[in-house]
Amino acid sequence: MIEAIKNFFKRIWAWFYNKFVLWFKGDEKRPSFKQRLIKIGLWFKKLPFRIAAFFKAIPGWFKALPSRLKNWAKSLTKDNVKAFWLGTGEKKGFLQCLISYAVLILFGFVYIYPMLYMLGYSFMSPSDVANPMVNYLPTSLFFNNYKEAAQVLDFWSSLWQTVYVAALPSLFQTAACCLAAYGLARFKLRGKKVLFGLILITFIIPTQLTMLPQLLIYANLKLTDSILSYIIPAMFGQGIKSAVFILIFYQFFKGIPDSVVEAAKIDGAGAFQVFAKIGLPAAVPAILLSFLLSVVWYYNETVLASIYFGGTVTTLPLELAKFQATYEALFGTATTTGKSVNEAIYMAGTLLSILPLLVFYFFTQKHFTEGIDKAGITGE
Amino acid sequence: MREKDKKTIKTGEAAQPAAVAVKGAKKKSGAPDGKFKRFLKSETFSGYLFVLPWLIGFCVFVAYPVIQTLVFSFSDVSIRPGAIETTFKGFENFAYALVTDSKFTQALGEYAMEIILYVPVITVVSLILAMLLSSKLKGTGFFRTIFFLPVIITSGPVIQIFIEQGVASFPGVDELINFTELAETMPQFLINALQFLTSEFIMILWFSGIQILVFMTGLQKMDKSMYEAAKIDGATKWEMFWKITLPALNPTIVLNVIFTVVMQSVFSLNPIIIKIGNDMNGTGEGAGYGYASAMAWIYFIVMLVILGLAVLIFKKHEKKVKRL
Repeated sequence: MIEAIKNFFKRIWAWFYNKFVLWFKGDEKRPSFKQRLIKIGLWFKKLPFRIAAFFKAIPGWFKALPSRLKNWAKSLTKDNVKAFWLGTGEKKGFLQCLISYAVLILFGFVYIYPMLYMLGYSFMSPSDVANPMVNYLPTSLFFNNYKEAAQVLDFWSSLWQTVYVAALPSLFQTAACCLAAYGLARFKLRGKKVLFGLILITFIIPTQLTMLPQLLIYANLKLTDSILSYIIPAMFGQGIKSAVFILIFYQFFKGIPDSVVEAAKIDGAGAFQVFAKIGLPAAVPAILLSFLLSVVWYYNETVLASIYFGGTVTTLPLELAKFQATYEALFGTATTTGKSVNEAIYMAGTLLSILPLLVFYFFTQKHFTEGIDKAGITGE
Repeated sequence: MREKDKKTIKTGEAAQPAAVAVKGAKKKSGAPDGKFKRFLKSETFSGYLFVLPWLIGFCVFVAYPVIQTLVFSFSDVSIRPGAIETTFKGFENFAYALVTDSKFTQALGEYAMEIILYVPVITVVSLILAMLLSSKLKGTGFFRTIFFLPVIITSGPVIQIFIEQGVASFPGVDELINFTELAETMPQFLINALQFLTSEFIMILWFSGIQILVFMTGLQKMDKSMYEAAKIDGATKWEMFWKITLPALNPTIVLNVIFTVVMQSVFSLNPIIIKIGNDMNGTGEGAGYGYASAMAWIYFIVMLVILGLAVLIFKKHEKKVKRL
C-alpha cells in the first residue's frame, strides 16, 4: 500500500519533471530555455537581411512567372483535374474534403450555437435586453449580470459542495463496478447470463419506478439528508447508470489475454493478486473514463438530489433550479424595487452553473474519447 | 511480467488463500461437506466474492424496491410521516390508466412515435458523423471535443433551459415547408411525423453524443485487410460501405439502438416521466403513488416491447446479411 502511494507520487513527479523542468533545462530532443532565447534573438538579428533578400527576389519571381504558368497549364490534363476534385485511391479529393468539413462544421455549430447564444445574452445590460434591435451581441460587456448571478447561486460555497457530491460517489461507484465486472469477466460463474440480465434490468428501469421505495429504504438506514444517500448505493454498484460502467469494465477485463493470467497463477498468485497486479493496470483507461463520466452524471443529477438531500446539501444545478426564488429573496421582487430577474441574469446563472463542468471536460476530454476508443464498447 | 512483480506475488501468495478460507469458515463453521470446503477454496468462489457487493446492492436497492412498487401498483397507497398504508385494489389502477386516463395513453402514443423517429435519425446521423470523425481529416480531435459536448449538457437541467429559450432549434425551419399544401397529397400521420422531425431535428442531434463515439470504436475495430482486398477486386467506396462497413457494424448498430431507446425512455423530460412524477404526489383517483407505480409498470412493459422489437428487426437483418 505504502509502496503504491510512493509509486504514485513518483509518477506525478516524473510527469512534472518531464513537462516543466526538462522544458527549461532541455535534453537530447528539446533545446533548453536558454537555447530557445538565443534562437529567437538570432532570428530577429537576421530579420533585416531576410527582408532585403525578399525584395531582391521579387523581380526574378515575376520574370519566371510566364514559364511557371505554362507548366501549370500543361499539368491541367483531364486526369489530373479529376484527381484533384474527386481524389485518387489513396488521396482524398478536394470536393470530398470540402463536403466533409462542411458537414462537420454544420453539425458542430448546432452544438456550439446555444453556448454562444447564452454567452452573448449573458453580457447584455437591462437596456440591451429591452431593446429589440440588439439580438445576439450585446452593445457592451455588462459584467454585473455575473456578479448578481454568482451571488444568487452562492457560487463558491455551492461549488465546493458540488465537487464533493460529484467526486465522492463517483469514486465508490467506479470501484464497485470495477470489482463486479472483473468477477463477471474473468471467472466461470454459474448463472452469469442471469447476472447480465439483472445488470441490464438495472439499466432500463426508469428511476421513477423505484424512487419512493428506495427513499423509504434510505430513510430506514438513516442515509437521507446527507451525501451518504449517494455513496452507499454507489458502493454497492447501484449508483447512477452503474450498468454502463460495468459493461465498459467488462470489455476491458475480457481483453486481457488468458496467458498472462495463467502465468501469474502458475507463479502462485491468488485471485485477488491477479486482479490487483494484472487486472487493474490493464483497466486504467476504463477507470478514468468511468470516473469522469460518473462525475458528469452525478453533477447533473437534480431529481434524486433534491429528494435525497432534502436541502441539507446543495449543488450548482439545484441552486439554478430555484434561481428565480432566490433572486427575489435577495434583491426584492419587481414590484418593490423595479428590478427583476431578466433573461440576461438567468443566462449568466445558467452558464455559471455549468462552467465548472465545462472546464472539467475541456481539461479531461482526452481521457473521455481515448477511454471510449480503447474500451471498445461494441456489441457482444 | 517483470521479475520484481513475480516476487511480490510469490510472497503474498501464502496469505491470500488463507484469508479466503478464514472468511468462508466464519460463514458456515464446521460444514462437514468436503465438497463445500473445496468450493470455498476454488476459483469460482472468489469470482462470486467479486460480484457479491453488487449482488447485495441489487437485492437491497433494486430488487426489493421493484417488488414493492409491484405491490403498490395493485393497491391504494397513502403516505403518512413514518408509515405507509396500502389497501389492495386489484387491477383498478391499471384499468384506470389504460381506459379512463386519456392523458396517459396519449403520452404513451407520443412516446412511441418519438422513439420510432428518434432511433433511425440518431443512428444514421451518428454513423455519418462517426465516419467523418474517424477519417483522416485534419482537426478531427477538435471536432471530437465538440461532438462529445452534448453528453455533458443533455444529462443535466441545462438542456431544459435551452429548450425554453428556443436555442436548441433553429428558427424558421417550420416555415420552409408548407404543410397544408402537403396535406393534400400525403396521409396525415406522415405529415405529423414530418412536422415532428422539422421541429425536433436539432433536439435529436443533441442526443447523439455517445452513439457517435460507440460507432467510432466500431469503425476502429474493423478489419483493414478486407478493404484492401475489395480495392483489388475493383470495388468503389460506395460499394465497400454497403458490403463491408455496414454488415461489420451490425452489432454496434444494435447496441446503439438499445442505448438510444433506453436513454430516451429514462430521460427526465420525457412526457410520461413528467406525468408519472406529477401524479406521484397527489391523492385520490388518477393520482397517488399506487397509480404512479401502475403507470410506471405499464410504461416499463411498453418500453421492453419496443426494445425487443428494435433488437428483433436488426438481428433479423443480421441473419440476412450472413446468408448473403
